[in-house]
Amino acid sequence: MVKPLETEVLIIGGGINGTAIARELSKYKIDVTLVEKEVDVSFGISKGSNGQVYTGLEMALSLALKKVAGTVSEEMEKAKERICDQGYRLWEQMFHELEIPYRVVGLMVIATNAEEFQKLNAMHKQYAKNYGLKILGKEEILSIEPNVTQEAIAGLYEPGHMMVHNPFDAVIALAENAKDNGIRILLNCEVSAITKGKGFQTVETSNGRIKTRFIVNASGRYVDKIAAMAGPCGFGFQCFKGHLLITDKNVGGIVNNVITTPPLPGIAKVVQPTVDGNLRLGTLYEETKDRFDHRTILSGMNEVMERARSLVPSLSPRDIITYFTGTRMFSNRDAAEYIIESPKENPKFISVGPGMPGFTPAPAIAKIVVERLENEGLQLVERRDFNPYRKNITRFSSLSNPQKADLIRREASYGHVLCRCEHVTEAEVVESIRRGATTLDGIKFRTRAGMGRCQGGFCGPQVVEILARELNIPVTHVTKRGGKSRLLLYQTKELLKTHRRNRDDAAC
Amino acid sequence: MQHVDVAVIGAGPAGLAAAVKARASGVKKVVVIERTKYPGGLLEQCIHNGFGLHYFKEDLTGPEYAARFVEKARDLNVDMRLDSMVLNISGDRRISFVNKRDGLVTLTAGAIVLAMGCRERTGPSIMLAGTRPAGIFTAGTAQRYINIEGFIPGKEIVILGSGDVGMIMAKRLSLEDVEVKAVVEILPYVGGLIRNEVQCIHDFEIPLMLGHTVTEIHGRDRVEAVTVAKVDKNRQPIVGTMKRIKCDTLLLSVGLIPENELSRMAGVKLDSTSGGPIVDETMQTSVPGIFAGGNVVHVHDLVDHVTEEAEAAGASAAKYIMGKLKSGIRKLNLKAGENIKYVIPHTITGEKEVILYARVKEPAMKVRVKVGNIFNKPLRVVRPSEMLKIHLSPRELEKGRDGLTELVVSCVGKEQQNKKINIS
Amino acid sequence: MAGNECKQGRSYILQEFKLSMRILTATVQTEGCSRPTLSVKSSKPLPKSMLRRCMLILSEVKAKPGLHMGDVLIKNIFDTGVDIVCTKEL
Repeated sequence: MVKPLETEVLIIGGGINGTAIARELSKYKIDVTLVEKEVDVSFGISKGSNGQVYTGLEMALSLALKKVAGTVSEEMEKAKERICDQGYRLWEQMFHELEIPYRVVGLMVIATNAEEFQKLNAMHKQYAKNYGLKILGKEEILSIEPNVTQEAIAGLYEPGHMMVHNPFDAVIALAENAKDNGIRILLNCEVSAITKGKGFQTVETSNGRIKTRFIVNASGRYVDKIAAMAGPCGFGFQCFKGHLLITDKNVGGIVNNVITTPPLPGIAKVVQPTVDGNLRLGTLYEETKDRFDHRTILSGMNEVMERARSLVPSLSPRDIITYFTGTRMFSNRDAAEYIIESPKENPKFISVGPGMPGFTPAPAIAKIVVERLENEGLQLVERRDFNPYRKNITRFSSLSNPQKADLIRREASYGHVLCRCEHVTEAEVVESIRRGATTLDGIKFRTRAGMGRCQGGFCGPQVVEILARELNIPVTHVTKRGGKSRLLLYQTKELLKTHRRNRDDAAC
Repeated sequence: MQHVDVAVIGAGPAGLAAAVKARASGVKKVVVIERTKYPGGLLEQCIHNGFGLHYFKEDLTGPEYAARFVEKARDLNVDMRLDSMVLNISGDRRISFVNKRDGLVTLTAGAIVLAMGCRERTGPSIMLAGTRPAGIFTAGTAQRYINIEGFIPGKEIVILGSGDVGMIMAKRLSLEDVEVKAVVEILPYVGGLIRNEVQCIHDFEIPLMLGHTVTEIHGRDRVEAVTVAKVDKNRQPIVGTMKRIKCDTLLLSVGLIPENELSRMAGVKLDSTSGGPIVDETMQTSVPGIFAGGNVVHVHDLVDHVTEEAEAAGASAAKYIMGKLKSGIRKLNLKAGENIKYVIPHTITGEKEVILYARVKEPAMKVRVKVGNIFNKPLRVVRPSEMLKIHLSPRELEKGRDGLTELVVSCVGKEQQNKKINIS
Repeated sequence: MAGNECKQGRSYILQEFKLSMRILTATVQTEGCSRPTLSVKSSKPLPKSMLRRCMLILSEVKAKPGLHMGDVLIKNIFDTGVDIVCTKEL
């Protein structure tokens, strides 16, 4: 019988919360294991996040939006603001330490009709004194954002309180740094049962049994399902599905700030510049009973497109290079609540629920969780050799010509550009595999290969070949994102030979 | 910094033709920069025949057609840089490219010929809804996997789009014993050549669903099915006509777009209808010394035309560096008139004979192709998938001497033909 | 025959009527070579009905390096007088 893996803290889930908590715990001398069901971190609910870390006016807007969606108590609202404020400050530090690409942008809230103008005024009255904002007229709006709609009658502009990034960049960076500092990460590892013993808990996974003292359940879409394995689960969620459209970089520069309108029931409109120079258009949030439903719907995409055009009229469907959906979950007890909860019978099992925003508060939530664990008896002894720094994969496309020349001289595979849209080199793809990517999506998230306007049409065959070579697997085993998502099912002649053999067999 | 006389971007049929022509015209240093391992461009994966019927008067396969030019290029000592990606082109004709062997190279060119060809439109460009599983490919990428890498995407395939690439893949896959469950086409007629409709679809008894489109993709990790619906005259899906087709692969053959990133970088003005640079009859773009030919200017149906157009670009590039490229005194703008989508080139001088390429918007029968008042030719049949080649002779151009600033190219006729044209 | 513009078209139509003949183009697998496939074609058109049988034969062929364009891989396939030749260098 195989001995169970023994660890002190088991984190279930490799999304933003799981990896942030892992990195926080890696500062101490503790044996920590993180298990992730998918083939890679960030592959769950985290990768569909908006990629915004924010405070200030956007936070106020976000709270207003929650009120539209569900009940929000003042106590929860204040708690949320505190956690997010702390999160924002921690992110400012972490973006640098972990070399996560990000970009600071401002927020421009515009009103294009009477109803929106009313809301804008109300917002101004409520938040202006905190943020020193004044209502701008059309001229002023257009001088800051010349490509915004001519229908804009008034606006509120707050520079520099939003950091936009790619959600998977952050999760991957946290995981790499945590791993670098001693955290054990097990991928393709799905939890199926949890039993409480004396002084420890036993977790059954697809990779075998794990014995642990503490469990942090940060399993995103599965958080209530996993919680129910460890005791009665007292929380639940309201789920929304949002459509996100990404534009070509050619139009990325037409706005410099996040453009939105005051939240009205059922209407959220956002045009957001991304760190890479695209625009993200969103979001149509529709309540859904199925949190696993990630299908895009034509009417949803058309709606998002129309809303985006009402803000920035020069945008057109021709500018769209890809789209996907994201799941938004928040507590059905209180839309502003961040769930950090244990069942009475098992205080060493802590569930951390997804919320909205999901990324902004994550580092603060991680600290709260570690504090809770300490209260429950976890010894926190600081590691003197904790390394807070993590280097990202060198992005060839962002280097100057002399830097590029030098890099190729040192490593020739930087001279082989295989993604023509994003200028990603073979060296970067190989490096991403060395850092844990085993799938096309994993490589895509770490290098951007396949994220350009041709969506992998040119680089696909080359990336597939490199994956097969580096992992020493047949090309037919290469997957898009693990599991059953194999890309190429047969070798040529395989079908002909099989059918011939079948015919010959049948003939006998 | 290195200097070359003529730099050609791309070693596909256009690039090879331009380079060979430039060398043959006396240019000393011609370099071709190609991003893949082998010259020949897309011809390398077009292993079917039908190439060269006009240019060589032979029926060749893609690789055989390419080989003729590769050989000529080798004989003429064209400097071929393979596995090299151009990162930047500036308006003053400075090019930066990289490869493993030479590292980062910057060179200046006396003239540049853009011959980057075209790329395929993707699923998002047609707002294809549903899930994002593995098993969705553009037809050209699938062609590369089968014909170059040696892999078949799946065994039950639906093809969206009846352009030539889609139809050719239908045949290729059927020959490999893949079940092609349907070729779905949103228009009421086939998008490619009739020859392909016969040899690729009818030969293999593949269901051809005209006036239909794929509205949704199903399957979480891998494609499991697609939903197909009939469309109305506005090309919108008709509710209640949805049909689910079980399949493990979806191939998209929904259009080609000229590659214009480098053109943009160089400051070349583009035409949004043809998709590529605005060119005059010498194939010079809006930037002096930068020429273009082939699919990068507009998407062709026949590689023979690509060759001719690129040769013109190569010849002009040669003349340019020798100081012999005369800009005409007059400039006649060519405009797309009735039932014409676009005309290449965009301007002519009217001082010498010229070949115009044009595409119609809708199929039609018993039409007259007109160029202003100077050209008028009856044609029995025109189709969007078959480019018009209009030869304006010196005599015809004489007619248009006085006071003209533009010529409208149009295709007028009584009967509009929307149904399949029967060969009977 | 409405709409035909081309002499080849006429003989093509007549040929279609009598016996549909097609040039077969395909790939074969390679052995001992960095390129996994080699493109081939039939030297002359074959009857449409024979194409599948030819594909089955081709599925067993393994091309070795050193082949030139035009080299014969299979001579006189199924006694038709038609050869299968290489269309690329290996």
